[in-house]
Amino acid sequence: MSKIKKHIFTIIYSIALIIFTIFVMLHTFVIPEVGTVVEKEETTTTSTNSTITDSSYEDENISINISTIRKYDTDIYVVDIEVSSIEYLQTAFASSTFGRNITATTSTIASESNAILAINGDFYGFRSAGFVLRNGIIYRSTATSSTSEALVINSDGSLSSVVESESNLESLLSNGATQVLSFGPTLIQDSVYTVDSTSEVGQAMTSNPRTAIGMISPLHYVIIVSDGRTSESAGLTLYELATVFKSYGCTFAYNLDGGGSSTLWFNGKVINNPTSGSGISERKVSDILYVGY
Amino acid sequence: MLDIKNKKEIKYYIFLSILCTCINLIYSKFSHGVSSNYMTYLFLIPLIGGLIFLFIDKKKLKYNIYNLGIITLIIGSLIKGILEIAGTSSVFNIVYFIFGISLIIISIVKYIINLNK
Repeated sequence: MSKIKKHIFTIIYSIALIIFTIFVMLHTFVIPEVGTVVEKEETTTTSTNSTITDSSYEDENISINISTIRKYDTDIYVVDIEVSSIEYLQTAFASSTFGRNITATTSTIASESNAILAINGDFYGFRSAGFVLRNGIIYRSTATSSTSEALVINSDGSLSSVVESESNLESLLSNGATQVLSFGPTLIQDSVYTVDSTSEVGQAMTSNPRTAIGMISPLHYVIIVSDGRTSESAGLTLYELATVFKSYGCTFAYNLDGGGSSTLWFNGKVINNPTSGSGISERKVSDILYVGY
Repeated sequence: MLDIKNKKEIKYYIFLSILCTCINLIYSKFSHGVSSNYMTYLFLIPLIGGLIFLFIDKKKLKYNIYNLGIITLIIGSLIKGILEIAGTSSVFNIVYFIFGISLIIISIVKYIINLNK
């Protein structure tokens, strides 16, 4: 009894440390923090004259062509997209809700959004900082870090990137930004590589599944999703990813959330081989970037 | 000169350091090449923390409080490493470092006071 009394502080502190650690892990990975619920406007425009195949979609406003190439020991899915207006390149949150740990698969969010084609976004809900501006509304204006770059989709259909710590989200919005996603880095800027063979996300120095978007010209985009972490596909480094964009004539390209999140969904089907955990399955993510009405 | 009385403590801190190295090596097998300095250099916390026992008289140190401080720093660094590798962060992570460093400072202050007694 006296021994317990002697160590009472150690015992109480250790229990508190364990409880606190469990709380930190649950708060970070599990407990949902609901922010703003997005009211989606009823779609007024739809196409009645569309031609759809397994790898393409064509109507008067949207043109999509998917091709699969094999490079760098990896299956790479390349999507060529042309839209008549930036309103057809949209974003959506899981459960139409902005918040932390609110997730759904890319397929689920895409189906709920009536998307034609969708990719995973920046998984903003996994972090507590990083610009979030979606469909013209600011949800989070906290910069990630001094060097972090955000993708800006402008109302004229152009893509660009900004260093978050040197930018103001309100200014970006007033200058015509319709979407801002925070991941990066920028792969190509003004047709020049902005990454080299040593560049990586965080300190990931190996090849990985990737999701990224590039621009050939305003309203003409290229999306690249690569497999990886499987025996069939090694995955791409950021530099390899940038070279693929360059080969398609992109003047700008930006890396989105990759790894197990990388998913390409088209017309009701997942096209790539997402790796979540040990098998081929979709990881739940916070948000998607999609083409649709 | 190594104080023979502190051999047990030094062994304990060397064991902790090896354990931290093993945790990093095992975790890196499953992290798809992503690493974090907080995880990679985790072993330095008990290694540096254990050095103190080469120079001081343990009896004059608040040993339990010092240990709790080091353990808190190790867990804080481990959690920070896990979150960094996963690509996220937590606003609560700083709490580990505040408490860990505070406990170490308290025990060292207590040691200095005891030295002057």
